[in-house]
Amino acid sequence: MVLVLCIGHLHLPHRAADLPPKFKSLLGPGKVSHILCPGNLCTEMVSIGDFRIGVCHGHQVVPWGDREALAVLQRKLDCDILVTGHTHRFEAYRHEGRLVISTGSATGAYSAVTPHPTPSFALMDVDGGKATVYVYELVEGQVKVDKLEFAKPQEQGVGVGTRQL
Amino acid sequence: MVEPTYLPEEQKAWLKDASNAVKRHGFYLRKAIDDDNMKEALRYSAALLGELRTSLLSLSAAWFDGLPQIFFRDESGKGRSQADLYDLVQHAGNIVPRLYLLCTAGACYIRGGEAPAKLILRDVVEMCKGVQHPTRGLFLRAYLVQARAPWQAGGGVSCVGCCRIPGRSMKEKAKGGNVIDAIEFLLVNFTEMNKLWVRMQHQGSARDRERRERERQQLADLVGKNLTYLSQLDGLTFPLYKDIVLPRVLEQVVSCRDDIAQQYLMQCIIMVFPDEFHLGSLQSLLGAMPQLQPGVRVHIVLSLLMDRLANYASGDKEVVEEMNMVDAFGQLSVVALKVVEQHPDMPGADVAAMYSALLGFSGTVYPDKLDFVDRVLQTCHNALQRRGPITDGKAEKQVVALLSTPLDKYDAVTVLGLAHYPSVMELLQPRMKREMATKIVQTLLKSGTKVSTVGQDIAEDQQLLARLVHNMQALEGDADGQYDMLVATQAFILYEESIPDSRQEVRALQSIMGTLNRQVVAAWHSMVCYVFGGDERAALAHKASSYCAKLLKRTDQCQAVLACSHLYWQPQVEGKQAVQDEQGVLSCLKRALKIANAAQQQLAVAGKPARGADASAGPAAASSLFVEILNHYLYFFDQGCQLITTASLLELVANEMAADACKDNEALQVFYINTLAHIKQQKAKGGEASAKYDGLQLAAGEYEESHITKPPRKSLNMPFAVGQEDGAAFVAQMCGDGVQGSAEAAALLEAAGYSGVAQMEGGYVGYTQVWSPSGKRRPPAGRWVSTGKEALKSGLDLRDVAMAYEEGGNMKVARYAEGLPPGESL
Repeated sequence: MVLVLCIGHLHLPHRAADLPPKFKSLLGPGKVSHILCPGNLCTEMVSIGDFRIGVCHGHQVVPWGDREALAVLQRKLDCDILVTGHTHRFEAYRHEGRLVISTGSATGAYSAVTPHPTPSFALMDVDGGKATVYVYELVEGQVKVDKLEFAKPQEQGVGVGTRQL
Repeated sequence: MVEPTYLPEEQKAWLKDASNAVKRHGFYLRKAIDDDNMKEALRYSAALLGELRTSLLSLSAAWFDGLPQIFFRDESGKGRSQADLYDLVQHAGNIVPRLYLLCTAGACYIRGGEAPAKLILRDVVEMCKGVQHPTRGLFLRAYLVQARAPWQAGGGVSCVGCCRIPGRSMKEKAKGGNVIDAIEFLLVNFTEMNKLWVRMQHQGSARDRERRERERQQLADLVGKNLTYLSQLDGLTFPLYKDIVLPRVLEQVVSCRDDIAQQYLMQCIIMVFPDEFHLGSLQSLLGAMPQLQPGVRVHIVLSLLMDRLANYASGDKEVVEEMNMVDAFGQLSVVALKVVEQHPDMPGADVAAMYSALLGFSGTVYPDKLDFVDRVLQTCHNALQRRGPITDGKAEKQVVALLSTPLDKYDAVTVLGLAHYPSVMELLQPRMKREMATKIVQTLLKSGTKVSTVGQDIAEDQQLLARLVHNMQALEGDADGQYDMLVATQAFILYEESIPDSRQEVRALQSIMGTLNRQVVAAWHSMVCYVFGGDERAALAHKASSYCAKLLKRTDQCQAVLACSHLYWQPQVEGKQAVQDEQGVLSCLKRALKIANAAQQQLAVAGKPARGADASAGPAAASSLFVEILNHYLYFFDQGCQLITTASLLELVANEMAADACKDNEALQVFYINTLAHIKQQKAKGGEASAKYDGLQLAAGEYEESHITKPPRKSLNMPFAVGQEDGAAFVAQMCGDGVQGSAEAAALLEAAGYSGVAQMEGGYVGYTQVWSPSGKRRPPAGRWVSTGKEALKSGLDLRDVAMAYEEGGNMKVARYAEGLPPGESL
């Protein structure tokens, strides 16, 4: 069992003053094995458990946050899970047998797409070919947690050029 | 008396000898006690104590703990007169053992209640004056107050030493011992011990000063014990403390004129006596401060006092009232000022530390009196200013601490508004100012204070300032649209202006273009979409696509154009007028295809990528572009763009994927397979979407999936159709060698009504000998064909070769083409 934290779009200090204190208290050290942060990096592939996970900031994918456009990227990267963002709007959905997680902004920093985002991040519990995604959102000062389960589809393309974490 | 210095090894050896002797004497002493032999016991007691004569061993005094006491207790229990014992021990030969025994016996004497405690104590204290050697004297007197602890604390009361005397005051009073006597005894002992302690300093050579000071620090507790016992006396009331104890102690402290003693004892006084005593006697206590030696770090003493008072006052309103009555703050600040004035050479760090303690005090006790803070800052500023600019690291830290103190205690914004806060900050070096500003901002962030206006002090650190900005209450306004337009304009200006600047270096150009391309084209795509009206949008979209063409690498160009295509096609969003310009999309996609073609040619010419180069740089990169374009076609196809048909493209891509260069590129193949899987899924969905897909030929893809070799081109553009007026309505390549099967098939087709059936001589085999799959004529077999390029490269000057050379190969004038009939070209 591996805990993977998907957090990004903090925009410190330019757009936000700090992480919400409630998030800070949640994110204690020593629990999380991997942190995936779709920062301003281009595109990176990693393998965690049986999953091929693609991390892409998301501004490269036009139109931003578009499901079909992201699907193109996912096909290109051949990843089971795509961690992206840029829209500062949390989304986690299955698309053609693959999972897409848009981390949203952990600080609730504004963006051109979403002027007043809800602060959010996701924690993935990867266990072999199964992933449970816990979504943490700060709604009206309260931390709200959602759960989403995702299993790796049986036949998928072979892994290419990934780094084994 | 000058004490010779001994080597550590020698000292160790003596210590060992002595400790052996002590053990031996201890053994005989015990034996004597067991045998009830009084004389022998005393003899061994004296011998044991005699080992302590040498001052070097005084520190091991603890060794003989208990033995004599046990002895005397036992003796007294056997009905012997305490007075006899008291006399008897005075026969011991050496003075130090004698006095130790005397102390012990005296204590027993008091305990037995046979004589007034007062008299015995005075007697013993007086006699102890006989030992004037500092270290020995100190230990002897420490023993005097300490030794009784085990046997006097009998009844389970945790009182120590003489404290028991007033504890039993009812009984004792009659016998002439009351609390005054106990205080007197302790004060005398304290005075004497302090004198001895101070004298230690002047013993021995100046060389050993440091070592002596260290030793003195170790012995400080012995002196301090007197004060501790004083504070623990049951009958010690505030009037007694104020009128007798404090004046006497302070007098001794001030008059001893010794740095270490004053420092320690002042701290000791503050630590051991209760808070309310300090508050009541604040004036006399503070009065002593300016009289201390210059070397005493008064600020530590003051800080300690202020911290205690602040603690005492916190949460207790009555105490605060009381402090107001005695004007504690006023007194403290006056003393601080006096100390600063009296010690002009006091380091800045100490000044700042003292004032920050004062600030802490006022912050806790008077949380609503900001003028106190300002007053402290003002006096501090005056004091520090006279000492010049603060450059010493320690002082800087202290000033920063000083400035931080009120930030925690008061509302930070109000503190910043104080008249003297900036002036103190001015004293800092710019570097430290910055650090201070950082601290201020951190405090603000921590407390989440909202700031309405920002003082210029803060403007030091832009990063933190940026964070702070979020806490400012900005004027709300409908600036979104203006903002977006501004961003777009700025993005373009940035783009245009930075390119010429960076032309000097190709690599820099590439990266800037790549980044800017992405940023610009992609970034303002979404913005442009909904914010701007039609004209603005069209203008920006046009501008963006023109930038695409200027990118250096064809692959970048292609991707940029693909991104651009989305500028003409906005996803449907509720409540927004979506622009969907099919023509614009299609022209972009076509341009992308064109660029991909060009890229492919370019890459083919460039040949294989250098070893270790990224696979995306090789020929596969161009093929990857095709797949990417295909995906974009599919995207718009899915979106319902009517002009898009993907059938021919699928075919093209299938062919590309079968090329040798692409077969080995796993990532590319996976991309392609995933794309095909997507098409399949769309088809399988059912409904409107899948109906659209029904027209799509997946044959090419299926070839690919099963890894069959490259399929033949199904192209109408066949050379033998040229010249025929009706053109070939149907062309079939019937069988491999074009003999029997072909003839039969042709006959069947003609019978079915096809007019333009042509039969290829030699069948497919014959065809491929002449024509390449792309429809170009193959060079005549068996002859080496030069494009002229290699000759140029080799430096040979063949006839007309140089003239014929053209980049990419000019097929018409190439040398091998000379043999062709006039008018016919490759």
